[in-house]
Amino acid sequence: MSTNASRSLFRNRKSLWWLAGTPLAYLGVLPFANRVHPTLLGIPFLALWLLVATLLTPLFVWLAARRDPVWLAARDRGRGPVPADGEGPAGTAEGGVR
Amino acid sequence: MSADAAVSVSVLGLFMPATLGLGIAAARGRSGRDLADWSVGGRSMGLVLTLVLMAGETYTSFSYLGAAGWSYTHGLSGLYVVAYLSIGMTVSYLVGPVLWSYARTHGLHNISDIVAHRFAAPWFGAVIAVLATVFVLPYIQLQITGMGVVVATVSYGTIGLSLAYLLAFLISEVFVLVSGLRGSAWVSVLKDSLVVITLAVVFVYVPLHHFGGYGDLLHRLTTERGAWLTLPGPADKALGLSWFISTAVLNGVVYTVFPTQVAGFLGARSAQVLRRNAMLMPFYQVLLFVPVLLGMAALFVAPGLGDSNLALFEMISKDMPAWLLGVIGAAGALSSIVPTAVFMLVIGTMWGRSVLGAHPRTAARQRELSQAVTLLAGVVALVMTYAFPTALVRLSVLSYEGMAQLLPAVLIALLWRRMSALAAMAGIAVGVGLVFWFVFTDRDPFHGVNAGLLALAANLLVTVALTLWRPADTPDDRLARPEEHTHEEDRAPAPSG
Repeated sequence: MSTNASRSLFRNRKSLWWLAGTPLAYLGVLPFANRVHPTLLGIPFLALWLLVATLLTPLFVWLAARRDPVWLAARDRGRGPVPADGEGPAGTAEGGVR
Repeated sequence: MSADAAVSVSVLGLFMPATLGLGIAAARGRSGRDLADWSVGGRSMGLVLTLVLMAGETYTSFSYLGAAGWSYTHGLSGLYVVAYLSIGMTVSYLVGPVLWSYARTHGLHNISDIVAHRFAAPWFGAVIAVLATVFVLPYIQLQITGMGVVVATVSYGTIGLSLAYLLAFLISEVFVLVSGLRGSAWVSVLKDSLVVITLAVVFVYVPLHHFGGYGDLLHRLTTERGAWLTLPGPADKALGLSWFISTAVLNGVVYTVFPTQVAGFLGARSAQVLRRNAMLMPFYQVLLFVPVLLGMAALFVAPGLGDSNLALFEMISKDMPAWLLGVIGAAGALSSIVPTAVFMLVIGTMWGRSVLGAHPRTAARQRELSQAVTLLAGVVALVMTYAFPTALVRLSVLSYEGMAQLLPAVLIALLWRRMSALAAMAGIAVGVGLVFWFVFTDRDPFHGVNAGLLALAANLLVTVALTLWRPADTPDDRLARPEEHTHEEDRAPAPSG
């Protein structure tokens, strides 16, 4: 077991860099997006850009997860013959009965 | 009472017992007497309940009243809420599983006992509980006040504010005391369904009814109200780019250690539920564009409002069928009731675990103590709502900025072996002191930057300096375990209690 928890939190998880996409999309681009024109379908540009960033956010998390060894290990465990800790197929995870 | 009022009050009256019933029924078949069964839903909630609870917590009566009111006054800068929630949800992919795993391994219930365990210092947990209470309590009053406004509006004034406050308090207390976090999650299912449906209705209705449709509304906005459509907006030059960015960064990071969100993390049945949740929750934020847009539409329909928080309801209450207004009122009321319940629950849990129940002689009664404080917190907020309606609201300004100062002790400490209790506590003292000073001397934002972020920087500086000066050597079992790439991660033993 590593003695440095913070280092091991990120160890071999390069895809987590995708998570930086969310703040970059909202905030890094903001100085350039702070304008009314051009509009698309009448939507002013700043509102449009923030809407785009909102729709990109799940994509960034998905990109981070799909190559994240921690995610992959947990997912495979969920698909395994013995569901670990209630991790069945996603649809059964309502939490109502157990 | 007019015929319209009778109809809308009846609709509202149908939903409130349904809420109570659903909240109480959530406890059925779960007879566990452990504190964890109540405080974190037995750590057994799947993806849907976790999603509905956590995403739903962010969608409060603020979203109906405050978001529309903000954009009415300040324009699009109100979307900073969307920016910080998206950032927070993204960060929660990483942070949620760390806190979940730590709390599950050691049988912990919220940030106060996480800190107490990390530093092996019960006093530190008590300090965190007290500070967090100061920062959360104002939100309870805001929600109670919000419910009062919504109910008074949709009942055409026949239900007074005072009665509405009392209803908000009673309903949320009853189901949270019986069913705890799980009850809140189940009521969230009803609440979120209503919120999505009613916002969709309002989204279609307002532009069609008051304008020629979206084309006309957007055209009038861009040509006549251009100042509302960029930062800093028309009213306050301090709400510019640097304010938006610094606030989104600060709140986005704080989001993951905010006690109500932490309760949601800990209630999940596995770490993977939280990672999936982080992927799905951001979609929910699209909903927040509706009140922001419609708040600006109110500039044309209801210009010169004294209370901008009524922007949305002014537009819909005039001509809408009474039954529909009743449904919208129920959605608004539930948007107060659910967060109120969770706010009270986390205050109760932290006091029950880290203050009143910290002593060995009281440790066996933590659940009862937690529930007693849950009741007490609601009573205090209710009395304050009646007696000093503005006092707590003033405090709420510093809630997020104050909570931010707990970040090093709650989260960074789990990853940094050398951080000592002295360093973390000194950092908190400096950070919280600075936040109070900035806010109460009217220096927030400070030269256009969120004062909480500046205070957090000072806080971190102090924490790092003192840690390097007198490093601690924390045992492995008080640090976050490394994320396992293989197959043990979700199988931490779950101790009772």
